[in-house]
Amino acid sequence: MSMYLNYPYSFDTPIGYTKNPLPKRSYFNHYVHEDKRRESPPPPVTGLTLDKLPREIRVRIANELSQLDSFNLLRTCRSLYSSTLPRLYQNIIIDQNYSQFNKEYNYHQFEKVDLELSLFSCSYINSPYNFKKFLKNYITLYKSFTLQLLQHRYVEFPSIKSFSCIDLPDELNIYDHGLNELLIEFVQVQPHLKELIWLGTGFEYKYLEYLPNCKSLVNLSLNLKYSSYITEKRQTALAAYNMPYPLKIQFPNLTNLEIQNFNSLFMLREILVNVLFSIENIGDQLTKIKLSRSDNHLNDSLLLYPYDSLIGPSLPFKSHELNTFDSIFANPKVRFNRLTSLVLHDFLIEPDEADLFMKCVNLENLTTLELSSVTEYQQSFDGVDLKTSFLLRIVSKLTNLKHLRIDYRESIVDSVPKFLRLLPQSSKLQSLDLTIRYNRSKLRTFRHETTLYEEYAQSILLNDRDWTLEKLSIDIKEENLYCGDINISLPLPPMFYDCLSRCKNLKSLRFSPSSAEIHNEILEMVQSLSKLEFLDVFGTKAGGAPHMGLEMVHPSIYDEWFKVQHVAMLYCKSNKNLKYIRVNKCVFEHLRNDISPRDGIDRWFNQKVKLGFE
Amino acid sequence: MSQPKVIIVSSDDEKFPVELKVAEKSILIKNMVNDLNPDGLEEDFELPTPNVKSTVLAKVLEWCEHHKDSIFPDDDEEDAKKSAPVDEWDKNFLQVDQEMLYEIILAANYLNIRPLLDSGCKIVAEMIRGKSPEELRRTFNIVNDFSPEEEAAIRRENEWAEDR
Repeated sequence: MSMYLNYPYSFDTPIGYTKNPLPKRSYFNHYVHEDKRRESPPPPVTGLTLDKLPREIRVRIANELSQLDSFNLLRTCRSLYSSTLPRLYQNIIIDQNYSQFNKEYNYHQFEKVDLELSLFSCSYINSPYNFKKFLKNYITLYKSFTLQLLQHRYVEFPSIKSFSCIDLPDELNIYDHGLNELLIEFVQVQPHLKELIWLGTGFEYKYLEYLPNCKSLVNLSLNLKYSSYITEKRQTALAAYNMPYPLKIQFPNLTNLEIQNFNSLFMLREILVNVLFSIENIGDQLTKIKLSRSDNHLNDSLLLYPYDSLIGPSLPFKSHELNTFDSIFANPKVRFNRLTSLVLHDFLIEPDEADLFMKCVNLENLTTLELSSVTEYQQSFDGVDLKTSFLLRIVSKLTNLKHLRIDYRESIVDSVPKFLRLLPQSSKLQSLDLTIRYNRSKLRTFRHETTLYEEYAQSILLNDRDWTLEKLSIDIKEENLYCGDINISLPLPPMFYDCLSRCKNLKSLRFSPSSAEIHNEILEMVQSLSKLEFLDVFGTKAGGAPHMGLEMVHPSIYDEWFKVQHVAMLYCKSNKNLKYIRVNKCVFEHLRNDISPRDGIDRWFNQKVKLGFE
Repeated sequence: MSQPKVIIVSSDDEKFPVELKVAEKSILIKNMVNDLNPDGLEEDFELPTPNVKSTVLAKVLEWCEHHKDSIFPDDDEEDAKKSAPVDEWDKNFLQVDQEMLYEIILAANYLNIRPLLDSGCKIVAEMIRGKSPEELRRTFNIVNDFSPEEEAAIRRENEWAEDR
């Protein structure tokens, strides 16, 4: 009874009620924890108090706080206001799926400045109401600073260093004129923006034109799906002056560039020529480039040509989809010497393009290579005398590769196993995200589909990869002329299972189990991986056989997590070190002898088990 | 012959002879020893720390002694490790009154002992966690120097961060 007397909540005092600010952790644990820690009496006002510490240390402490705690701290006095305000604004993330109850989305983030990591905590915004309020208040704050109305507060203006729009709240109307104007005004007050990430809906290319200081920008990631601006500008310019419209935006210090949904190669070339190749020394500056025709994270593809058209005498494609590297490396005199990461999603390439590619990129510095939904086209009359694949022409140069994602479409041949086999000895692969593609045309070079799988299984672990691999994802797809891609589960053991159980350093594994009938073999394989923390099983057989009692007649009666919880439980019993497991689309957290269903952390989980979700 | 020691002298002239390995937890001392003894330490070496009182220095050196064999994650290690909670020993070690805690943090900052500085700041952050501005002022004896209008304005400006 007495233990509830000191407890600050009652049934009638909801959390968040002004006298009970919401603690960061579960309030129950929080108070248990507080009891253990004896609160020392504060020093006298004349002594050394928190607000009298040097600013440098107050800033450090502020970066250890959640956004709510810093909001509370900055309201205590001027000194703490000035040292805590920068923490609140330096790094803004807009994500409608964020919830403060999901501990996986941490506010601690790190920034690399000349190899020294410094804490760079972020603030999240997840509701349309707060987003608008944030924009309005920030603009007002800026105005009162420039008018020096707030000078008496002795504060530097809290400039935003990183602004990431991961997922704009659905309720926001992106076509709302008022919001659009607000965003333009907001962009205009960003003199120190280093990173601009806009992957969700609602980005307009014209916002870039309003950035006051193009020199500050280092990272730029854009999704152009909803920006028709460039096309419109071009058309008006063409009509008026009979000249193409120059995109006059230059970011001289850019090192990372990502463009999603660029619509056509023509448009991509237009953007790259104006944004990238206008930079002096761009070749010695750019370290990461990520280009994707469609939404990378949705893994969809706009280039759905059936496999039987990938080799043929004439082009079945629209011409604007070919000449990929001519468009990307629009200035062939520029060689990207310092590129460490290259991601291409949804492209069409030809074997001969490898020459230009190798001429323009120094592949020896590349540590991350992702080729997903990349299709190789070969011009040939009879399907014999095929050229050496693009992959095999570049493989010998990839001497430092550490992270590889490969999802490569070919017809008749399959160069990926050979590619994996020929990777130089010096490349120590830590992550491998592999999509195996089978189609009937490949039967011309492989006797049977299992021969193909066999080749893959044998080439995965060469080069000591059983020691170096920490992350592995294997996905098998059959390309079907009538119904698109079909997911195939792993062939029966031993083939892949033998190779999986040899990867002793795996921290994360993603695969599609063969059959519920061999669950002992599968569990033993998982058991043998002592460092495994993340497991993702998917496919029709991942959740066990469909159970008549659970779902067959009325599929929506039972919760999805409920239906597969026994599978998650079994895996966790077999491997005590597992921290998270996903069975089909349901994530569970492994707690001591128990599992707990988790919702809303898929983005985080995907980063753990796959490549290309950073 | 025993190994030469580093003798650290506090602001109030107390001398603390310690093993080189212990003293080197402080990057400041490590660099000074290396710069002034390019051929390695041959005899006892005295170093004044004019900013650190003897009571605080004793505490800091106790920490260095305990962690002389600990390996701390390097700066280029994975993010997850850096945001790891304070280790249990440090937590108990830093169970001191507020003024002492701040003095330790200041000393760690001056002597450049990153892991101790991090632990100290995290302990302070933990004391801040979950408290309203009024409770914070009480806990830390902070004087409110805002006018009521300012207080209201600051609340309004940053309200979006409350996030519910």
